Amino acid sequence: MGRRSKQGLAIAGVLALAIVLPYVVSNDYLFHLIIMAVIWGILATSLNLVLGYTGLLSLAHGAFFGLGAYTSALLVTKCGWNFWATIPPSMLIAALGGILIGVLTLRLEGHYFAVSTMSFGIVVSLVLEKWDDLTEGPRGISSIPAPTPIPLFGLGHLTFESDIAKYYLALAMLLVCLLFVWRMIHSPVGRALEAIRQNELLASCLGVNLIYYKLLAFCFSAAMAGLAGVIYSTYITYLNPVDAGLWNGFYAVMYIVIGGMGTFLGPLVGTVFLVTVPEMLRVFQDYRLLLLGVLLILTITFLPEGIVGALKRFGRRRPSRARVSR
Amino acid sequence: MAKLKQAAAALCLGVFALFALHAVARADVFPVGIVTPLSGGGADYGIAFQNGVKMAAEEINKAGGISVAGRTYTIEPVFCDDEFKPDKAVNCGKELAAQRKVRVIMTPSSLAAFPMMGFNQQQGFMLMATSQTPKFTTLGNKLVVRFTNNTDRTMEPWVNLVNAYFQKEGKAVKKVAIMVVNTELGKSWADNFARYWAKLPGASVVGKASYDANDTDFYPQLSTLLPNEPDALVLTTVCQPSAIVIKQARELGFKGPIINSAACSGEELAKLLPAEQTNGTILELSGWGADDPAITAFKKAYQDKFNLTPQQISGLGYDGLRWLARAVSDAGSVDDATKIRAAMPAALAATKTMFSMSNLDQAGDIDMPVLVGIMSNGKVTAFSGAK
Amino acid sequence: MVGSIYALIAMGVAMIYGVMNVPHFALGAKAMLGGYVAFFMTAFFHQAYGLALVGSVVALALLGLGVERWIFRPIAKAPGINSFISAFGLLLVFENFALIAFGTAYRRILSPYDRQMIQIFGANLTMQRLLVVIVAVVLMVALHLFIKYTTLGAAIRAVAQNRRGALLCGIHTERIAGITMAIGSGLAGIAGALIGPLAMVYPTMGDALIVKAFVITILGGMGSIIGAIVGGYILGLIEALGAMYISVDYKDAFAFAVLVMVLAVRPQGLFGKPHR
Repeated sequence: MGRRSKQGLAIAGVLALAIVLPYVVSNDYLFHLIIMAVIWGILATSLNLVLGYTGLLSLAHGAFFGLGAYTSALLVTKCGWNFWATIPPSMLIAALGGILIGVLTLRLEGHYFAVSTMSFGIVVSLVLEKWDDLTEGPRGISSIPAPTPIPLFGLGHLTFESDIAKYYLALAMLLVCLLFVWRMIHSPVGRALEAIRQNELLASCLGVNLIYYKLLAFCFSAAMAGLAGVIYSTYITYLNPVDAGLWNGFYAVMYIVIGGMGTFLGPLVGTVFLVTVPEMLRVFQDYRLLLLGVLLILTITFLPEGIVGALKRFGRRRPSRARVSR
Repeated sequence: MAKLKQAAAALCLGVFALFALHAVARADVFPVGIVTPLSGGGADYGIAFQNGVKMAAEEINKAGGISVAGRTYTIEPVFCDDEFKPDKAVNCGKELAAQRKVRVIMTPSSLAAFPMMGFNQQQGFMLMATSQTPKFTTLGNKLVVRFTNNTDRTMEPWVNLVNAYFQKEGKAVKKVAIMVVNTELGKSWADNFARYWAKLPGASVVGKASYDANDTDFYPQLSTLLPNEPDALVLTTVCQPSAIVIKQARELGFKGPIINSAACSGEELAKLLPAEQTNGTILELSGWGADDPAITAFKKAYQDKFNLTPQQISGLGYDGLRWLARAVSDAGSVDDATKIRAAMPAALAATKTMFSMSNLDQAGDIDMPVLVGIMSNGKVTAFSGAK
Repeated sequence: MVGSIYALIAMGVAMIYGVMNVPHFALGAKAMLGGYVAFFMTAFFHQAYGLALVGSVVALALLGLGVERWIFRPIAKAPGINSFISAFGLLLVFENFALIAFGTAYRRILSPYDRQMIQIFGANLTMQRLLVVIVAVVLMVALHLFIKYTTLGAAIRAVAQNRRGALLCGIHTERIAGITMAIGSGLAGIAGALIGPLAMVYPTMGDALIVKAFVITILGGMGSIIGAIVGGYILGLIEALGAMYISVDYKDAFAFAVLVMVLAVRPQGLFGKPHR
């Protein structure tokens, strides 16, 4: 029970910190990086559900992200929809993409699945690039407006023009996603997924319907990735087919592995790490990405369980220390 | 373990110290943010731009810098790699505006320009871009400047000029096939070209095929376009892929003229291909291709300095920064983007640019003449239509 | 033609995956390095193109040995996904190294075969294109024979089938992994040197190659060399036919769509062994 309450306290602390953050960080650039970390954090959390908890290496999450972003941006800019009304269809389209590719590929093994999802991702970004009557192609969608103000009856409007407001929007969405994933993994569904991750054969012998549970996780995960895309589009105000490309999908995988696979908060730690480190390396100018590559290799060689995984082990090995630090 | 921790702490401290050092702007320096791809697939383009900017900055500083309200400043271009991704461009824009306190950011792509338009007025910096998307100057942003031609305006007279040349030479070029490159610049150019070409009497566009600038094999595109028997083949991007396309088109038996957008210059194409394959190629000739001693000198200096062939975007970067330097000096302010923007039109009139830019309007557009150039034996001659 | 280049890299991917269980995303970048080796040998040291081909194989094979020893061996016991991150890190290192060391300029390898035109079945072809196909086919056959009929080849097959079993039989699995990596890297190197005269050599030339090589490897069946070869040509054919009869704009999409469809019917790929 003691451990539980300590955990609760820690979570409350982090949450409080996240809420007061805009008033502590006065630097625009730093604050922007925090917002980006929250947005990528949503993407990482969504992928964590399939990669971390079900063991499926999906490289299509960049595409789901792009599908959500484009759906929302097109509905807002071309059809004049209210921003909030675009969230459900955007998530739905991303989820449909997830179901489509899921039905075709979820029975594939390991690398077959990874490369198939990668193919799906490439097809999506190609379509976004070539179907320029709809998507503007390589010119991209520009001047995507901020979310529509919400009328507060008699109290004016809640507007989302400022970065602070967009931060809270992104944070709220991240919390919703985290809560959702938390509930899911602590439900019978989550136990089924865990069984699948550990041993598929055994799980199916125990009567777990593999395809059904995998598809369920995949579909919700895709919808969450789409949600991340929606927030991204309204924050960055511009979309280009590269946003749906492979890179975002690759980076999402790295957020999780660097942060710690199969841990609840690992993806967020990994996201913060991979959003800030490349920016810090800017001092090295031309050598920046070369050093990033070296750093990735070193991190994964010396911390094979990711940052959170390593911290956990460190804490376990030296319990006295762990108690002091939290 | 303790040692490891110490080492880690020292490392962190070191990085942060560097970071802090980096962030402190020196006095009497006017920083200009340059957001451009410096790695990945766009690096070739981005570095060509970076080099042009570097040359202008060196030239200005060697001549004593700029004098603003009685004080002398040196110009310092601050480069930031956007990797050709919109979110990284925002990272760059925010960093430059918040950490380096820049009041002007220049970029050679829409991919960076549009996302930064979301906050440039609010953060108080002027955005100079070579974006070819018409929308760049129609959104009512008061702090934008397009330092290249708006193809929406220049394409129609240019297409007519191309047609006039063919008529003068007695060549019946009516049907064209267009290779549309997958970049914002090339795509806008190709759309405009197709629109105005189709308006010419008897002319038509008999095929379009898209390609990537880093593709290596164009047989698939060419074998769908060539059976439509186009009289001319239109290419829409820089020289390297153009050279491969021309070579492969000749291999497949295409004998008609090639028409290439301004992204590729004659002398560069001449270096990549033997003369018999480029003879009769029509180029969109901006001031960049003109036979002018100042431009020739710039190209030679660039070649000597970087051991690279200068690209059109290098020249634009060079012109852009020199124009800006003049404007800052005229504005008498290094920290008010509105004042700098207000000084831009007069500064342009007072700056001799390689591209003969003139008439900056309220929206942010300029006039920039484009001519028709014809290649023969590796040399380009201009066709102005007169006579 | 393009199919041959894809197939060469795909063979490397297939071998490395089969033996080491590493999705080696940096092989495309190695092809790029191979292209540069050939470029510098021809342009600066005025070596014959044939010699440049050999040089790029040797240089990249050595690089492959080093990469196996210092990058992948230390993480061989970690979860498989970690090698994905390392491979990605390597990709960043190679590409940005090339960018810093060689600059962005597009380099052109001069090959004496590039100017000679020949006619086969009424189609115009340069000698270079034919050379690519010939070299690729020779290498494929040689590799196939090597794997099938030599002791070392048998050892490689053994490790690919069952690493622990091979170890118990006294096979030095780490050395086999090193050799495999060297062969795979060498294949990528020669692929880059071969495509150099046809196209250009530049730091990101490997990106498109490696993605297709992975699709081919999966299409043919992971770990199957024959599958990689056949897959390479099927992909080239699909692209050409799709571009001609359906749409050039979507030519790159067909290969991926076909992959997903093939796997929906045959989950182990065309030549892969069914699992379980």
